[in-house]
Amino acid sequence: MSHAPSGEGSKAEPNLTPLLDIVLQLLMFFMMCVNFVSDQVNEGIKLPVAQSALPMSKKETDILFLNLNSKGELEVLGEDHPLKVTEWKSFLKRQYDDADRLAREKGQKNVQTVVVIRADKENDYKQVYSLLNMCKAAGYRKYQLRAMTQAA
Amino acid sequence: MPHERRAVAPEVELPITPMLDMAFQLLTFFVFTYHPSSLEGQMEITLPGGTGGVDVVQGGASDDDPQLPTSLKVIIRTRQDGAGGRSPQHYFVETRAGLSSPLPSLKDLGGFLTKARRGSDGTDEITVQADGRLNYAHVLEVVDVCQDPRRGNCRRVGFAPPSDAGD
Repeated sequence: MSHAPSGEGSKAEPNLTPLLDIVLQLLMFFMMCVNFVSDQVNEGIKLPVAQSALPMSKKETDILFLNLNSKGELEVLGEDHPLKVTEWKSFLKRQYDDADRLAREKGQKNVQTVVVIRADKENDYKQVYSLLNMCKAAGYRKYQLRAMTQAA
Repeated sequence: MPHERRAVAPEVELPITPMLDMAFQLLTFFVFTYHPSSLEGQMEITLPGGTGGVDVVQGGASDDDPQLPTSLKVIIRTRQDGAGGRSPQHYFVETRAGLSSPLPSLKDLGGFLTKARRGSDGTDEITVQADGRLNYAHVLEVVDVCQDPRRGNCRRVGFAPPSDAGD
């Protein structure tokens, strides 16, 4: 007498717990790495390469980003169009006056703003120097140049 | 003898499928918005102009044993290149002892600066002067050499006003 096989098929139940565990691990990783706020940097600017460039410091909180594109125009956050050379002086003076007022309200003696210059590698030295000179004339004292640590 | 009924705890079934679905949705979103860290770095510089150069002492400099100056000036001499712009031709280093002979490459410049700054206490400064028409990338290469710990090893680098130091 043989026993007929059971009509019911065996049920395969995948174990979802470890799958969910891995998915949540990945989710946490990408949530930690997300950065919704743009750094006021212009991705269209091709920075020159400098091996001795240091990793960007996170301790600076008051930063003015000046993006100098390949056409010699200044692209800054808050301005609806790139600024030409003739507009740089008034813009920088305005920014410095605002920073100075804020510094006085905080009780600081001097403006602590760091001017970060992101100049395209195709710019002339004269253009970058003019920008630095105007920043100095406006009153800024701290400067940084940005460069790629290795060729992209 | 009364029979005690064992209380059977109700089975709770947690539907994992919608939870997994939402987790995948969120994961997809964060994967698409993920940007790896950029390769951007920062270089500190000092103010331009003002104390651009050093006093040149009559007598010239000896490249074999350059005197230790309190500050150095790197001059980039340029030439017209085929693309209509200007490119570096030679590099000169102005020290207290005088102007060096032309250094043809960045490697030679790095070697000269290494010797010149041997024994420096780190308070001196290097000023870079170049033709205003020179491409900014070339100027930054020189700044890179000046700040490289294996070569110039000087974190205080500044810019001098542009000149027509070329052909």
